[in-house]
Amino acid sequence: MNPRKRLLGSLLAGAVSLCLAACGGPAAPDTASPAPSAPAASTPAAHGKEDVIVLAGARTLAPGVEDVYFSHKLLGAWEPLISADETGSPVGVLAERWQRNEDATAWTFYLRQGVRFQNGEAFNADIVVENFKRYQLLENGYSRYTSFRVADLYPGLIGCEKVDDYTVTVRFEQPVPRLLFNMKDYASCIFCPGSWDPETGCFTEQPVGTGPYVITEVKEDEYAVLKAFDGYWGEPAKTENIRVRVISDPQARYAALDSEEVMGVLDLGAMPAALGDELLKDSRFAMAVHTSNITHFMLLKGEGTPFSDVRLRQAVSLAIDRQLIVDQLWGGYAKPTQNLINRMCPDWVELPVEYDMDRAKELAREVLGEQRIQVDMYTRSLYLDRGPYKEMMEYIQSQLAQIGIDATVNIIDSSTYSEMSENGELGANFMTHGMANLNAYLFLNMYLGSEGSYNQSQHLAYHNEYADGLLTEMRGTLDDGRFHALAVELQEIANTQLPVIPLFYDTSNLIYNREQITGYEDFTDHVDLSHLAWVGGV
Amino acid sequence: MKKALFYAALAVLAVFITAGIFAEVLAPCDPNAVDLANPLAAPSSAHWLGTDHLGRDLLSRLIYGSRSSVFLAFFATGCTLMAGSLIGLVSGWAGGWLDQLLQGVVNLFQGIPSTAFVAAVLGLLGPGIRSLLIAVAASSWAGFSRVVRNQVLAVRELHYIEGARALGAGSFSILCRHVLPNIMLPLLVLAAARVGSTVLTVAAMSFLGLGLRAPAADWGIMISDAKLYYIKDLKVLLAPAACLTLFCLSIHLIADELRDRLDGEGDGAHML
Amino acid sequence: MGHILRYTGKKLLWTVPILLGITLLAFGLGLAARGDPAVNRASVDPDYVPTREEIQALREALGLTVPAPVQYGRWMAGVLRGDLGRSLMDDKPVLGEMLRLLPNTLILSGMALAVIAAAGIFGGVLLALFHGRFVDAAGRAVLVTVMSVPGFCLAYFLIWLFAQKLRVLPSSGAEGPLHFVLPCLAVSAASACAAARLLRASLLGELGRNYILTARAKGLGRGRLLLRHALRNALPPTVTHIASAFGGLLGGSMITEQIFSVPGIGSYALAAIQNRDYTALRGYVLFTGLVFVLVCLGCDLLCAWLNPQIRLGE
Repeated sequence: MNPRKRLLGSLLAGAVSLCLAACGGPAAPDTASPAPSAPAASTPAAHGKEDVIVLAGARTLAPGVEDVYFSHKLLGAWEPLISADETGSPVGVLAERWQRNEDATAWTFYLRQGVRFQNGEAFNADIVVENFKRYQLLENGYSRYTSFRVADLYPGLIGCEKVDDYTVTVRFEQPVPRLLFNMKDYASCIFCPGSWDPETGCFTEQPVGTGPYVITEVKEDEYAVLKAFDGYWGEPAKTENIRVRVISDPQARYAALDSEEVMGVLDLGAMPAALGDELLKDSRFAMAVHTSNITHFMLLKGEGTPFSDVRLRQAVSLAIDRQLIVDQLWGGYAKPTQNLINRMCPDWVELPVEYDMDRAKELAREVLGEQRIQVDMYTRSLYLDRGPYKEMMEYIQSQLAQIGIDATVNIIDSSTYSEMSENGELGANFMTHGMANLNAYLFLNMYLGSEGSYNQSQHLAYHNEYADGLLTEMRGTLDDGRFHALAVELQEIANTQLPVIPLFYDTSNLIYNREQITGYEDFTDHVDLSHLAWVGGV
Repeated sequence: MKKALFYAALAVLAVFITAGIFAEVLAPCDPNAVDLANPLAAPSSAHWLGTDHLGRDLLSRLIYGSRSSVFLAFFATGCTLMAGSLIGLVSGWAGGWLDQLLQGVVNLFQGIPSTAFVAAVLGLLGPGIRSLLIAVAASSWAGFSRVVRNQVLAVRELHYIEGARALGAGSFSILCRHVLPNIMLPLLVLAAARVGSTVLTVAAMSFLGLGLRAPAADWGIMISDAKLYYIKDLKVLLAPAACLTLFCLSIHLIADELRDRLDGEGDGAHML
Repeated sequence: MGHILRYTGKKLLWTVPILLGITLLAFGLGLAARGDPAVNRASVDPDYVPTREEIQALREALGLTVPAPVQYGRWMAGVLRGDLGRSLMDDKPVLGEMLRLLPNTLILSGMALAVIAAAGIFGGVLLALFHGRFVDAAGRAVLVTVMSVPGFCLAYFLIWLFAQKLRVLPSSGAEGPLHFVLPCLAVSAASACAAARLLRASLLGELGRNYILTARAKGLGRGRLLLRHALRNALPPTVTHIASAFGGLLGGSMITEQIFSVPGIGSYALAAIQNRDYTALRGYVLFTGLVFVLVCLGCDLLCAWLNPQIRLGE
């Protein structure tokens, strides 16, 4: 044999064995068999208690002890006193009933009995008192999801006192008529005392909750492992084991679903509409669509700009075909809106949404004449992971060009954003605002009130004394009917005056493999993973 | 065969450069004209390559994209070349402590991972052409400077330079007459390789969201924008990626040919 | 032997100015940057607008109000005590976080090093063996093409092929060795091709030399010559290339880590940049500088061993 051939042979052999070593291992599970007849799905009885449902999200859902909640509510490790139902009305979780005194300065909560923590300890009034002591320490509790500011959530809180083993009273220095809205979910999270530092309220170890799932393992930025809690007070979890992976890239989440490495995706921006459409062409996949409390906005700087003129703001709003954006970019699931308030809020009313380019041109000409103006439009890079923001801005850019506004599209990181927004350098800003607190007053005041936090920080320069008067009355009223009437009137004002330009209400679109798991349909903002089950049961 | 490839590569490069210069004339449509009702359209007589995810004419964007991508790459490389060569010249010619100091700085800059460095400059100074130029120049000038310095040192040792010195020629004229012609070719080879990697770096930065401003038609931006849509319609990814690859390929081929000529002359190709 | 030790010592001494320079550079870049870590930290919750007093208090608490040289001095003093400081964003210790993320980066770059070296040497030798034939021409075309494709396109292609279509490898994650195969291929492809090209060129250069011609005249076969004599002499430039690629990989690869959800040093640096988390960024820069010096040193020693004609220190 000639030496060259021998050499070549040995080199080739080496390469082949390397390849085999690399690819050989996992070839067993299923070798490219077309999916609909995947063995796992056709023989549901095969699922034992040990089988694990694997899900994926874009960000971590169990950030750890630095976070004031330790884990996202979705995981079902802990529960709050109060949550909200489908219509946005308060509903009790660990608190069964409640009542308030005449002037809403004292609220009494009747707690659920027979609830145990995951470490076996009983839930009772003492626990709630301890948790309120913790809340009082959290002046500015850090969280990736929603920060805990006791002064905003429980304004004028004096303290929580035990009435009997299953009754507590929370007292305030001032009336807090909409307290239950503030307390929704995160703001009334209950953990077993002992896991936090009594000086700061920060966790020193993994806290114990009462929820249907125990977090048994967290690998930061990689995955969290959940196991059903067998002593759960309510309906037990339908699946024993769940693993939630972090897959940061949308394309990779798509691939993971398609290759059946994961059975569903969850959380914000879990699957971009463009990729979701493709997956749904495959009969294996289904989409669970739920309304969410998120609204997408365009904010125009009014301070010292032509946008302080309401006609120009109306022109911008009329120039945007919201339905087209929703249909072409958001997969048709979102709902166009011009209303400041989210549809999840119980005080929401439906108001008209208009697109009329001719009137937009007319209004713009009234303000600008023949002159063209420049606007720099910005958005934060974090929004690119939540939806086609850049595409949407490019579309709006081309629409605005038709009414005499030459806009630029800029993507900036949060740091640059914070500085520019403080200095009032953002000509227009695209962002989402989730109505985490469904109290309509808070949200209306942020944008419509002359002193409202977003009105000021975004340099909107919206000022309307009549609206200010309504807002003052709204803050103080103890009459729910009057509150609602005021909320409706202010929504109507915002709908025509457009202190900001709402674009559409988002939905959460979660895609899952319907041949493998069920229960995605009833899992919303309010329900956790405990409804998830294997197709055909265990 | 090799010659043919070289000329083909030159031709491709010429096409891209012409497209970039005469984009206004050549492009059939406005590259930024959005037609959201007509996204991902198939090729037609109105849109020869069809449209992208916002209904923009793909061909026009590619043509304008070559202006942005190709010119940015050449320009950035040119800046880097100038800065690097100047420092190398000074370092090699001056010698002594200045040389030592500059070599230290060169070592320093060669030690920084280039992607991380470019990302840091772009991230901290904000995306845009200015930051991009600074980032590219700062991350790659050291290589040029090293080549130039070595050549200057080599040339200095040559006898005819000694002669020129003895005849009273000034440093500057010696540099211009004798050193520059000698280092032209190796620098050209290095620069050609750099142009290719700069295009790829800019594309990578666009992917990280640190590239140019939208809606600038740029191949890198087009590729990273196509991320979510290529599964629906492969052409939105394939077209800009093919242009980018073709461009890099031709640059590589040209650099190869230049290097072979350099080797033919028998000096210092190994330092590349 | 003493020679090598002296050289090693000298190189290690170089570490000090390099680390000093590189951290100063990072520090200076931070001063020129837009954005304020305190504002960032105060606005973690995007729905909340922090007040100016809050931000100022935070700035003071984070030590950002003291003059820049003092900040740098304090940080340096901490480093000398082995304390890299805490993240400005979430107070986590920088060293601890980097150690947490380091294993993934080490596994990825280690595997990539093996692939680059194996594929680069194999490819280079193969092409040199078939110099002037079809295999050579076709192989070179493939190498240049792979080098010209943007890295993230290649990554998506690998996911599509191996995870979605063939289903032989997981698409993302860092849970087991198999999860690292695709990211490893994605980061090493371009470097491996460059290494193969380089080796081919230097092998051909080596084959044209006098001693080889003499050996050939004596009747030694081309293949044996290539491996016995030419390869060893031709390796140093390729080794240098591979070492610099390896050094770069140890600094983490932001894009690959992001696409394949492999949390590593690169994502840490990217987050630090985006958050203006200067302590984290300085920690990262210190780490990469150290890695660079060590990799360079290792590479020089390896080259000297391969080719004793190379004199260290020149």
